[in-house]
Formats: sequence, C-alpha cells, structure tokens
Amino acid sequence: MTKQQQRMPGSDPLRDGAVLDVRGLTVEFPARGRNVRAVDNVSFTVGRGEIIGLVGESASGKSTLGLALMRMIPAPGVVSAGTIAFGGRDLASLPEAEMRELRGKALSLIVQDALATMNPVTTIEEQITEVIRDHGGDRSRKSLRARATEMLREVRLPNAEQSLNRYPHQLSGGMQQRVAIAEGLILGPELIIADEPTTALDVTVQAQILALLRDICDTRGTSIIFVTHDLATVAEICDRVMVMYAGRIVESGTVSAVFSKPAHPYTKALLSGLLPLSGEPPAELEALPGQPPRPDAWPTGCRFHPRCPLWRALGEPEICTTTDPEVDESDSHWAACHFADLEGAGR
Amino acid sequence: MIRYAINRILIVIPLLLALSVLLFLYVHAVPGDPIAGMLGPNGSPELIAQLRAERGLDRPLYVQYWDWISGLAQGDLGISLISGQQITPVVINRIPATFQLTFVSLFFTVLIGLPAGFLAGKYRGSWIDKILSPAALLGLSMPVFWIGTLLILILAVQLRWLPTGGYIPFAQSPVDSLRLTLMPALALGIHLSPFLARMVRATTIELQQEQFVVQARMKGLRSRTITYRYLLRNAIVPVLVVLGLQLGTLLGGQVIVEQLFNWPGVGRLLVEGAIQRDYLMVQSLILVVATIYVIVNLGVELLHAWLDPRVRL
Ligand code: SF4
Repeated sequence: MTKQQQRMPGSDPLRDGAVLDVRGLTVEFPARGRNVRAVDNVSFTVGRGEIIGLVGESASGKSTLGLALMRMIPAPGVVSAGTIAFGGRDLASLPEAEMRELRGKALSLIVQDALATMNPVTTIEEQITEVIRDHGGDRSRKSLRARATEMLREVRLPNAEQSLNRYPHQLSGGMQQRVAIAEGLILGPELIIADEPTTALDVTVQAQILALLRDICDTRGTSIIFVTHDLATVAEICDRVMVMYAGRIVESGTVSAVFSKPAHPYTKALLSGLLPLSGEPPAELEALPGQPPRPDAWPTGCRFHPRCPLWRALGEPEICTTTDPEVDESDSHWAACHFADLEGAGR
Repeated sequence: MIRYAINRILIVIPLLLALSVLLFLYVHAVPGDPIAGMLGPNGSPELIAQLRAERGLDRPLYVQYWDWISGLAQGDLGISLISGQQITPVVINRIPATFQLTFVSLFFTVLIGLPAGFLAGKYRGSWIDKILSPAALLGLSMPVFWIGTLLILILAVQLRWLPTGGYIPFAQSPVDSLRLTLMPALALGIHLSPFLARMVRATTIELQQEQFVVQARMKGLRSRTITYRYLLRNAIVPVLVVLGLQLGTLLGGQVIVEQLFNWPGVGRLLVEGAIQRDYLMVQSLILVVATIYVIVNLGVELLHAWLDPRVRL
C-alpha cells in the first residue's frame, strides 16, 4: 500500500550509467531560530545524454535543488544532508576551490534572464573567453576567439563572428540566450542545469532554443536537468520527468508514463490543467485550489493533503495527515501517495 | 558617439547663456551702485560719475551685456572695476595653479575614496567596513578649512615635513611644486572622498547581488576575475558620475583651501575680487568657473558613455 509500482518495460533511466546520482539531498535555511527545509530528502539519478524535466510551482524547491547541485545555495542556506555523486566525486562535500573548477566546466547552470546574467560592460568575446581562461584553458587571443566563434556557430547564433564584438544589450533576447548557452557549453560540461531557460522568450524563439538543447544532448551526450513550470515544454523535449511539490519529488517516471498514466493526485491536477478544450494550454500550476505551502510551514504527513482532491474524495483518511508516503526510488515510475495505485489506472 | 557629443554640447550652450544673463542681472540690476559701494562714504557724486563713465557703466544695460558677452566669446573677460586692467591675462596667470590643485585633489579623492568604498562594500559588515564607514561619516562632517588647518598643524607645524603654504610653478621646479600641492590637495581629497567612498560602497554592495555577478561564480570564474572585471569595472562608472557632480564642491572647497594655503589660483582671485568689491571681476570669474564646471561634466558624461556601452545608444 505504500508504494507505487508501475514498471515501464524497456525504459531504463540509467541508459549508459548515471552521470549524476543524488541521495537524500536536503537544503536548509535558518528562519526565525529554526531550520526550514526548502529541499527535503530528495534522491534521483540522471543518465548520460538524458533530459530530465523538473516540474513544480515556484516555492516547490525546484530552483533551490538546481542551485544545490551547483553548490550555490545563497547564504545562510546550506546543503545539510545527502550526497551528490558526480564524476566520481561527492559535490556535497567537495572543497570550494575544487567546486569552483567544476562550475562552468563539468556542470553549468543556464537561467531565464540571459541579459541579467551577463557583464554589461564587456563584449561577448570577453565573456566567453574568460570562462576558458579562468579554467586554465589556452591563452592565445586568436585561438580563444576562434573557439568562441565556433561555439557561437554551434548554438546557431547568426553572424557569430561579428557578435563577438557586441555588448550583451545589443543582442536580441533569443541571441542573448544562445550566447548564455554557448558560455555554458564552451568547456563541454557533462551536465547542464537549465532553469526556465526559455520562459522569457517568445514562442518561436522558445521552440528554437528547445530544439537546440535537444540537439546538444543528442550530439554531445550532455545531460540536462530542465527546471520548469511548463509541462508543455517537458512533454516536448524531456526523456523523464520529476514532479516536485513542497520540497520533495512526488512523482518520477518517463515522460510517456507520467503523461499517459499520472499516478500522483498532484500530477493529475497539473495535467488536467494542461488539457483544456481549446488549443492553447495555459500550463499554469496555480489552477489548483489553495495556495502552495511555504517551506516554513510544510503540512504534516503527505504535504499535499490540504489541497488533495483524492484525499477529500476518500473521506480525508488519517494516514495522509500523519504519515509520509514511502517510495522506492529505484522504480522507473513511482509516486509518493498512499493511494496511488487506487487511482493509477484511472485515466 | 560623435553625434551624442554634439548633442550634449548643443544643450550646454543655452544653459551657459542663461547663466550669464542671471549673473549679469545679479551684479547690475540689484539695488545699490557698484561704484558707489566700492568708493564707500568718501565717494563724491562727481568721482562716481567719472568712474562710471570710464568703466562704461553709464550705458544702457543691454549694451553693457552685449559688450560683456561678445567680449567673452572672444576670450576677453572685460576689465577690472578696481584697477581698470584686463581680467583675462590675470586669470590665465592663475589657471596653471588652479588646474594643478584640482587635478591632484581629484587624484587624492579617488585614491582614498575608491579603494575604501570598494573594500567596505565587498567585505560589508567585516572589520574593514566597521572602521571605514564611521570614518567616512566623520570625514563628511568635517569642514574643509578645519581639515586644512589640522593638516597644517600636524604636517607643517608639528612634524615639519611640509611648508605651511605657498606655490611654486610646476615648470620651475616639479618636485617643490608638488610638495607644496600635497597639503591643499590632501585637504580637498579628504574632504571629498567620504562621499565618493559611500557611493562606491553602496554600488559594490548592489553589484554583488546582481545576477551577472552571481552567474560569474556559476561559471566558475576566479575570484580575481570577478573582483576586477565584474565588480570594480562596474563600480568605476558611478565614480565618474560622482566626481562630475562633486566638482562643484571641489571648486567651492578650492576657494577656501587656496585662501588657507596661500595658493594663487582662480579661487583666491575670486575671493580677492569679492573683498575688493570688484563686481566685474566676480561676474566674469563665476562665469569662467561655471563654464569649467559644465565642460568637465560634459567630459565626464562622454567618458561615462565610453565606459558603459549601455549609455551610448
Ligand atoms: S497520500 Fe493522501 S493526501 Fe497525499 S496525495 Fe495521496 S491521497 Fe493525496
């Protein structure tokens, strides 16, 4: 009764072995004399060349999880428990100096507002080449420039050569995002964490950037954790999806499994909002009744219970308010719900 | 960039013209005759009339204004009310001393204010900040004549490292000239730098929270790169703006400091003119100072545009 067991035959998430293996990751922030857990005991793996969608509302902890992987949780927050196995090392306990070397080289973070992430007073060329230089790469101006040009071509930036001499504000939003991706890719990282990288862009550009990211995964074997609140995007480019709610992953599985047979009531609620009769899916997670909980006041038991339609339909069983649903994270598709299998085939 | 510069200059010209009219009216149209004021109770009506005629003050105001302003356009500042001499050569004589003092003062201002503000901002809340921030507050509340007097007392009277004042042209003996510049310039530098330091501190604190600085760390850049290329380079821009704005304070402070250190600059000429009630001199000098102020600010603005590509558009 405690586990959801829906194995999807032939979809091993760890295709060529895991690039990233996260166990029991917990991020705490001190608040009013006690610690609140923005991310609470999260475990998952990312396979090589895989794109994993990390979906959730704004306070769900999805962005914090991304920052935790970069070890860039803003002080006074800390990674208080868990391991992050990556490239034979545990990022959770790596000394800061070594961590610095990995950032931008082995793992990169790309965020939403590309313009805000670029130094306004230096040219695109300087921004890209300083990443190479600061990671001990080569120092000849000519070959640095050549590498930067090549990288900009790979992210399909028009006029790559001329764009090098431009300043960030002189580029369009889509071009800025391409440059940001180029900066993240220049040293060939194994893992990219993309936090809403297309949200600020218009629809056509969004589609181009998504296609680009998919291509990069396929040709370079780079893995991507795609943090988003937009389920349509997940369906489009991700292999697997993890749904986050109140600091925890509540459902995880391949995109086809989760989208066709969502097991967790929260996922169902999300997906039903995605399928209105008219063509344009709103994809707003706010459609659920009630407010998403805040980290300093996570509900007891199953954290979704105050908003859970199934809980209410079942006559508000006590177990939901007292006991955390347990899951077996090694299953290819699981959901953290006591009654998941009651509903599992319900769609 | 050139279009931008020309645009700015075109805006400045009417501004200066308006200022000249105001100045002129202030000196000429206010009640009380300058000549009578100058001669005091001893001036007989005949003497006053004679002097007025000599200096051309009996002509209609618009003629006098036109005379003055067309002279200015050709670099002629008019004649002194007192001595009847040309003002221009006197001013030109004083300009090297003034420029030297201005330049060295700005140098000290930046030398003290920029690193202090930057360190206090970068290590906000640390002991550096805890020392520098109250020190800046103290500096802000000290009048410049007081700082100058203190410097004279310590450096000249007590330690006897420097002379109490005076001036030697740079061309004559660079080392002695700079030695004499040191104290007045330091006084002005100490006077001006707290404001600069506070601006730089605030900017640096803001910058550290900017997303592009956070992202620089995400990219694994070295902390030296972040300090110099991300923080310092972006903090320089407001430094320039502040210096431009502070030029007014500097020129005002200079009037006092030049007096205190017996420094023969334009500032002291202005004081001399004011004491002798040489209205024509004061009127021309203020316009010269205002013009310098406007030109320097224009230069700062252009430099700003050059340093911050976002302004250039
Ligand atoms: S455990 Fe209970 S409250 Fe939580 S999702 Fe399942 S039914 Fe709803």
